[in-house]
Amino acid sequence: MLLVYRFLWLASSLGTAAVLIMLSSSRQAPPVITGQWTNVQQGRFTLQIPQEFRAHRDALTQMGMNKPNSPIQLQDAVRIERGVRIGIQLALVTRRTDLQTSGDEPSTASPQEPNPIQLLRQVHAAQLENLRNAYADFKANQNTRVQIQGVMGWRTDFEYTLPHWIPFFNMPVRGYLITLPVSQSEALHAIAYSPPHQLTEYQKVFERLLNTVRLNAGATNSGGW
Amino acid sequence: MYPNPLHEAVEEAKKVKVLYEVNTGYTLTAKLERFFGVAMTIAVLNLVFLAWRPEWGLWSSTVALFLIGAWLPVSYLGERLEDLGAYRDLLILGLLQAGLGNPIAAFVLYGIFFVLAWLITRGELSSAAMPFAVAYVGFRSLFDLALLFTGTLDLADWLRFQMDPMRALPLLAMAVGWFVGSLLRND
Repeated sequence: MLLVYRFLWLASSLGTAAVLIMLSSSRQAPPVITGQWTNVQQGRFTLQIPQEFRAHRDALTQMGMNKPNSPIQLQDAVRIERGVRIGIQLALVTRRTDLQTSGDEPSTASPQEPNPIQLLRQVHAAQLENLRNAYADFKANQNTRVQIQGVMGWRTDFEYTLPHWIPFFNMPVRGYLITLPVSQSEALHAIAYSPPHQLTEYQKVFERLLNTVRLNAGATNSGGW
Repeated sequence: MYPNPLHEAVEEAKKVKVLYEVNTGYTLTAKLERFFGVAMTIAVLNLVFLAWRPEWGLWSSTVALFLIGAWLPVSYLGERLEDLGAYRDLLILGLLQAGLGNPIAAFVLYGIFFVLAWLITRGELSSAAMPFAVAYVGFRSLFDLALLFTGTLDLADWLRFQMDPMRALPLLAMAVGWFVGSLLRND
């Protein structure tokens, strides 16, 4: 009987090595998602997400993104994540019109209202600044125009480092921020991120996901772009 | 011809050794071969399943570790789960796994606690859970490595130290397997 056990562990060890070598081969890498998508409704967002991802809409996210004196106010946000560095965050923002300007002297001339494109770029830049403050080694690479569901928006690619308790295990992350105008007063941020070597594959997933996003009706501010 | 007393003594000793091995199970090598003969077969079957359906990785690894846990006492490599100290060590290991989320980090901390407790008690400490912990960390790491290769598990998630009770599910299954295997072992 011992010979049988000996044969089993020897054969299984060889089999284990063979399976691991096969799996580590990049040619055998399976697609990042299985292809099954489910409908999700979270707050003002209705969208389709792959089965492997989970949607969260927690207060912490919303509180963390709203600063007291920011001219941009967060309306709603949802995180669709597969892991700590694979996911996409959607944030619906509006421009605040109720801010009191500080200063002793009243302004004599009203500043010229920027046009919608300039406003959109400001909102985009403000969100990039938020990301820069939030992550270590944040680097914005290139800025391009994109079209999602027929709407033109801004896209900025970025890289940052995901910190770990043990600095040796800090992980690089690559992603992009897309800002789209969705109404006269609202804009949508999409912050997508993944490991650098998988961004090409996940980008297709994120693009399909963004094309399924629908915004439910909600209260909007009176301000405009 | 007179019988050689030395030869007889050696023969008697051999009988005693055989009787001892029958009583306790097997020699350490035989125990290791018995354990890994079945455990590695279960592991390779799970690896093949992981390559086929990586999205079911958590559940298939849980089942595989349950079976390996059940085989641990039956193969005589591990003791039966009947010692209070073993239950205590299982609880510590489970809490560390759920609290840290990483099997190797949990094992390292458990090892440090164990060594400290061993030094404090001057060696009077139950080590029944140590073969279980070593087997768990080894096979769990093997299965996680396969999931990393398939892209189902990201390295950053595996390295993350964060409370995640779901990641302790395979450990719980293996502990239940150890309990079931202890009931099945016929001493």
